Amino acid sequence: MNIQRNNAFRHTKVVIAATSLVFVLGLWLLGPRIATVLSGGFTQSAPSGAFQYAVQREHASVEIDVTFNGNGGQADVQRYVQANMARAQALLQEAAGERLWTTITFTKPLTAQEVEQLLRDAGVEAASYTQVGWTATGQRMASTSFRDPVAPDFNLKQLAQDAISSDPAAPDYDARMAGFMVVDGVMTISEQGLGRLLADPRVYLADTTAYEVQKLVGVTEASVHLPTPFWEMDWGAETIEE
Amino acid sequence: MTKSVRLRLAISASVSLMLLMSAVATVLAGWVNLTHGHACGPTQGNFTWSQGNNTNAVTWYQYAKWSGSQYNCIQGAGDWYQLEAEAYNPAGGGTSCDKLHTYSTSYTLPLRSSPSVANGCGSTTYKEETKFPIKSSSIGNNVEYWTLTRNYKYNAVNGQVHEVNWSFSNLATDWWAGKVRYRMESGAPYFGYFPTCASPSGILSGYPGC
Repeated sequence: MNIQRNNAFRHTKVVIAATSLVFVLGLWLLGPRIATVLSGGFTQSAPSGAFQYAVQREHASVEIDVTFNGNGGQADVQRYVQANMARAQALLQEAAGERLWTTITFTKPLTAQEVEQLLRDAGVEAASYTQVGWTATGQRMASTSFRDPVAPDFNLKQLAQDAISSDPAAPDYDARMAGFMVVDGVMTISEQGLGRLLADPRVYLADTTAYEVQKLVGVTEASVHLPTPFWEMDWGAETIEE
Repeated sequence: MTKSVRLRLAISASVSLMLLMSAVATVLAGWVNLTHGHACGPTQGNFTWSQGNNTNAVTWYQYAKWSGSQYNCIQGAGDWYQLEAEAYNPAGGGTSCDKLHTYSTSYTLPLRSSPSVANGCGSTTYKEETKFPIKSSSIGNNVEYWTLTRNYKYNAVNGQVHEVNWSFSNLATDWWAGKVRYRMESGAPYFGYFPTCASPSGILSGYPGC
């Protein structure tokens, strides 16, 4: 009787151990996948390894979020910039005339006048403008103004000034802005448009990833949110834009 | 003046100063613990609401800070999280639509992409939804960050009550973090959008919970 009970006990232990082993092995193999799913739907890496993306489909619209690969460190950003440069050169040959959603990051903060001239020359239709600076306590801050397509009296310089509160109790009161670092918008793939931006030393990144990621997802229309390293970049000394 | 009178005066001045400082702290303190339920979401939040006098716009400030386990979580979370300021009520297909249109934002929250606006509900003309994509690894422990949305007022009706909502999101799912309910009151030349309550209780200093 005791021998039978001992055998049964041993058998139970083997089954539990085997089940645990399968569970641990499964977790080890599927863990990253499960974590990815839990962290926001399926996120995927581009075949080039230069970026990751996540797709959300709601009714008829598609939204795609793109991030740098890895942890978004300096090497990851550099690889992303290089991949963009190579893609841009290829697109100038193969996709001339097509429209492209882009995020343009500047090497340093530019004045409203410089930004408007640069965008006009390259034929970029801006959707939003991001200026950077510091709060009165020295904390980094930024302000993004969205362009209303139907607003006839758009004035970037005025908008930039209005973005700072005149209420002494507000946390952005007395903020000092250095200039514009990022513009989101649409442009045409051409030597006059994309080519001009690539050649301009004030442009750090003219992002062409939207073209590749839409092909990967298989959609012609999508809201694409592109990454920009602007927050970690050098904004210069704390001065007020003239 | 005797030594004991001087001592009594000094003590009473110190007590008055302490009481005054405590009163100021009560007015300024709006930080409350958040109950969104996500391990990587902000630990505490705080709102301010700037109606302005006779203006066509209203500014809503959202403050957030991460600490303890939530700070550790967001640090290793990867770049897929965002805070959303929704100038409507997203529950049940959306109500409070077309009352506010976000035209600009400011923020000290480190971002990985520029913020974007989109239509939340109702007419596509009005952009009620603002997304702030968080650069998770740049979030500091116990650092106070703020975001704000500047909104134009539209379709005001005297006496109507509407709301704005705040949430933490991982792209696909939202974890509700707070709200402000406001009442429209006619005035010249513009309507006033005045808060009536906010949740979680205490997140908007001076107003009751909803």
